[in-house]
Amino acid sequence: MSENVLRVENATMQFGGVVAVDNLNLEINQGEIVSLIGPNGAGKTTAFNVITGVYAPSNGRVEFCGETIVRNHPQGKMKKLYKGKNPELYTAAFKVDGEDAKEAEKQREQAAFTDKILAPTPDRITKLGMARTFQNIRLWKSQTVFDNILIAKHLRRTSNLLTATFRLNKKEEEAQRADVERLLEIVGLSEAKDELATSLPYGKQRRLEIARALATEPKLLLLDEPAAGMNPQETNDLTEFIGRIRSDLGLTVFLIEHHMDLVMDISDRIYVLDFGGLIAKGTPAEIQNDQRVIDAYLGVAEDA
Amino acid sequence: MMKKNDHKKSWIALLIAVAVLVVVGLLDNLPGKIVPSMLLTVLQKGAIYALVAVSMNLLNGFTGLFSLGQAGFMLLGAYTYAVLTVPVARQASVYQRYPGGGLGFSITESLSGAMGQFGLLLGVILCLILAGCVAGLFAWLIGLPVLKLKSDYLAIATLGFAEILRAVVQYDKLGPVTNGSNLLYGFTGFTDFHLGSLKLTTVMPFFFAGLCILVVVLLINSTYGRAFKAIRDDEVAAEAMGINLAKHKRMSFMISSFFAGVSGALLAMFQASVQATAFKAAMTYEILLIVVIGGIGSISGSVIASFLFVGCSEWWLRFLDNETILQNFGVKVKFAVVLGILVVAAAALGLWNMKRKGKKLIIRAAQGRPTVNWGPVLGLGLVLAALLWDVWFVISPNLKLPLLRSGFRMVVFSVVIMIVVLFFREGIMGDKELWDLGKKKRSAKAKAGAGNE
Repeated sequence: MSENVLRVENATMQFGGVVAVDNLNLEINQGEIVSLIGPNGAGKTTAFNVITGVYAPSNGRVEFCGETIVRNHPQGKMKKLYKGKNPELYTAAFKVDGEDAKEAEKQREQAAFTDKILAPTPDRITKLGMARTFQNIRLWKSQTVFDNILIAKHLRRTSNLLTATFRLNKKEEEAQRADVERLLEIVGLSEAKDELATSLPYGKQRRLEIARALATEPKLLLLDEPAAGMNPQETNDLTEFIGRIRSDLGLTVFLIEHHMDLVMDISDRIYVLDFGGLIAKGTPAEIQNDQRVIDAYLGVAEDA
Repeated sequence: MMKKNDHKKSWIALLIAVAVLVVVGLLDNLPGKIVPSMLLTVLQKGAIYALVAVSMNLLNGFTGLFSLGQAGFMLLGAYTYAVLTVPVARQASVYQRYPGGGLGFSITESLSGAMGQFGLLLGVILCLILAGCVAGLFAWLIGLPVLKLKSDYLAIATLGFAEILRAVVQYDKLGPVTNGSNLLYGFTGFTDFHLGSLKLTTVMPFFFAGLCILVVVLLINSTYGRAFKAIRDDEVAAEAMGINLAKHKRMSFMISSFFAGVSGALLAMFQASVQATAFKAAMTYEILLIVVIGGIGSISGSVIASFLFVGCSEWWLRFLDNETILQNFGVKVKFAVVLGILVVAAAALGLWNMKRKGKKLIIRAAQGRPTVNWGPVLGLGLVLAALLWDVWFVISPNLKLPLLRSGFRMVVFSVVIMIVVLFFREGIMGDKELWDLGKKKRSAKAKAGAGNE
């Protein structure tokens, strides 16, 4: 089995009394394309937000390239409100006993004994090598296509405020710009580089968002409904494009999507969420024939 | 190719800067009363306000943080500068309420004593930097709790801090340093600068403000400036793309405050005296007005607007604050004619607009009594009244000009800002820069050319 890139363990996200993500467990391996599907409101985007640090989970752990990056347990008000599973798994109070003792011991980390919480801001997670796009496009509206990608290179800078202001980082700046040109080439937006990002057609804006995410030099790319609002032709192009960047750039891709053609086409594995909980996982073929998934999400063709 | 172009641009910019300094220097030194002294005042204060406006724009226009603490940071800069440069010999008289007050040394005095004019320049630069640093340091402290707030809440909090700073500076126990609520004066000002017999009074504020604005422009076009703009455009996306929000917001806040501090010190040099009561919230609003009129997110807009604003408030609109009685018949007729034309033009414009939209003064319904469209009718009535008053004004012997009295200038400014916000929200420049205007046209032309080929 290849290397684990992302591992989400017992992640629960509860807002007030609503459990949006319920004890989610998933793994993504190096070089895979994995999809997360499910009906509207199932908690897919919330799961994304937990992984990328937008929300600190109420409970659970996220591991990236073998390193724990997010860990939390119910605390404060949430301690009383918490309705999910394993409330004490990531606290010092957790006691291992019974028959599953060994298994449970394996599951938890030593550091958890200290009650230590890990909840980095999204920028730090991006710096570790995880970049995302958004369900509703979030480009920088007043910036050109070129600048949108260039800004994302800011993260990998070595210059400081003074060297950048007084242009002592010329080499780096030039390298950044060259890299942006290369990315524009990859996503096929070189022609439009001086246009305002918002003046692009929808499909190209999506591509630009992906290019921007690629500019942060990620190992894992998270795409939140990359084909939303696209016509079949554009969706096909996108399917081909995602496959291409995976093989060309050696990326691992994790995506949320409702276009089943795209999902079944390129996914190595699929996770299915419903009401915050995982109801199925497996290869596209397995998922298509899973009765629970069909009932909850896929449905049956009316003429069948 | 591109590199050459860049070099060319820098040379042109340098040439323009030198030309401006030379022109200003000439204005300073022309003999007699050729140059109105008001013009020099406007130029000096305009340059200083340009720097504050640019510093506020860096925060409000480029980073999207709505802060109203500018006057507070200017106050810190002004006091730091003044305290450090009051000559030793004058400290006894300046601090007469606090015997033994003052630092007992003056940076500019010692340096100019040792090295003459060059030492003076060095000392002033050193003190300006220190003034900026003190402001920046306080910005860091204030920023710790305050920068977690967003939009209006941030504005309220920074405004509050600025007021607190003003009160603290006037605190009696700090008297030996800040001179309490009394004036600080006698320190190095712009008038102390000269090259042989050439006065540099107006050149110096241009030099210092220009240098600082140049740094801000360079910063905004660097990778950090781009990150600031990303935060302004979409915070969530910026954070997701790896921009550390807290760090960059703090950075922008501190840099903005640094330059506000420097400009506060420059203002102190210009006024030749400092008193905390001058740095009220009203000062921040003046600067905000400049930023809004110039265009939020435009450096050149802020600079242009600052000269316009200072010109209006110090010079061209001063007459609004004076009660005036016109007695000369000729002047009265001229005034009445101008007013009459304005009023009639306004009425004509209103009527034309009504016709365009197909509205009528009296609406005749098919049945029942006709109804009157009261708004326009009332407007026409006002126009008629104004014209009658106009005639009466010419005939009557000693009539005071209406509305003109102390404080009316501020009313006019308020009306101007309302009009700007309602109808010209972009300000003079929008978020464009002067040097972008030519470029836009050129690229449009190039595109049209490409289309033709």
